[in-house]
Amino acid sequence: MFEMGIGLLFPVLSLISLIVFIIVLIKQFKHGGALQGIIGIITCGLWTFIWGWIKHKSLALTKIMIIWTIIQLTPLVLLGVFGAAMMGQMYKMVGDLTGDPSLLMKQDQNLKDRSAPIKLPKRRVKTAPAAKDTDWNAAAQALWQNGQYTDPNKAKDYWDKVIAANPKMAEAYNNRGLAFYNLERHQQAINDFSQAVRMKPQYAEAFNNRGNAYYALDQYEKAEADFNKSLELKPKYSKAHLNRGLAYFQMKKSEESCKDFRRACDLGDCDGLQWAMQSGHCK
Amino acid sequence: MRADRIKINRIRSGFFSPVLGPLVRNRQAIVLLAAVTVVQIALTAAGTIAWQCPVKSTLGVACPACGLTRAMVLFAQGQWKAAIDLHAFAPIFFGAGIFLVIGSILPARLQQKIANQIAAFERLTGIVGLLILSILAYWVLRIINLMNP
Repeated sequence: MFEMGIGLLFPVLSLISLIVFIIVLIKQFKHGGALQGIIGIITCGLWTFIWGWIKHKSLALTKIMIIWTIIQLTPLVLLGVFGAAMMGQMYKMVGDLTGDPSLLMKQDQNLKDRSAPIKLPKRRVKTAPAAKDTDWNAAAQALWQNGQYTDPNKAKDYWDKVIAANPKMAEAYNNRGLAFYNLERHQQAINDFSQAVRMKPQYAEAFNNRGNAYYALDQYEKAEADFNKSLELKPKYSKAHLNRGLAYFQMKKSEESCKDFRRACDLGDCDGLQWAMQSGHCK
Repeated sequence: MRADRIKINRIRSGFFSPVLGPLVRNRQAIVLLAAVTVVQIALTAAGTIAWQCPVKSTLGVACPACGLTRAMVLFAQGQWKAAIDLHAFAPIFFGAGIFLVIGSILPARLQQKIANQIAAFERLTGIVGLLILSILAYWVLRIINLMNP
């Protein structure tokens, strides 16, 4: 509840930040000229922020600049106070509340599977989704760290209990599937992901995860089909682009592979592209 | 007819008006900008929270400079191709960042001299205006690319 309260703070702060930015930007256009204003817009507001502080005395912007500075510093301060894991959870809660369906717990961010020939750098991972009504759920989610379960056997047991209590919870099947995946019991993982997508056909993350499990079993055509489905449901899903790029790479579809790595990078996940460029796979 | 001509002249003078020159001339401004640039790059390189773009964080729409800091970090790490792929203007802004840091510690007289030369160059070429137009064109291309994978 506390995390949710803090988590709710972010959209409110973002909105205030946008309003303050617009106010200072108008002043910038008026007093600094069009060129200055345009630079303010194209630099994500950073130049407007600096300009605002330079001119704060002459244009009576001191109060508004203090507010803007506090808003910008708040996430950094909270990160220091609560730590990265808690912040990740807060951001995730905001995502849930604002209708973003990508529960990070359900994404497979673990590409370090031993059977995969590509060694990608470890990616930063946010923490698990909010617990609902059972302690087993929270206990299982607490085991999810850095893109995998710290104790997949225990996580699997906990998800068994969640599923026993609530057999219609697609997320639980998906998450147990991830535990099986971590245990390298890929066929059982596929069964769970399949159950999740049967219960929730719009579940892009579960399709992505099943694609990864097929990938681990070297069934690249099936993996590609699942990544395609995932991207059909969620076109801006960077992980699915990255994973499909890997599947294409295995299928010797070099051009498509590089295209997917680039697309994933455009969407903010550049690990694949960096690897592909360093290894000379993509130019 | 005359009003139109005045309007065109105003746009032209706006396009060619110096931005970097006066910035370099202002010690306070250049120190502040250099410090913010260094902090932004350091926070991004450390993988923690850096400057939050108010447009992207509220509306989800990427600004023309979104991804630029990450690209600059990649550029600094020697991953030039990846950097350019992430944001084509990374080398230019990386160079500008270095220039800002050096400019912020120059002796006053030399700083003024360089500022005057930059301002004259800007008036002559409209380099900042051209750069802005290029970034905007690049941004449009990126958005089109994102919409049509």
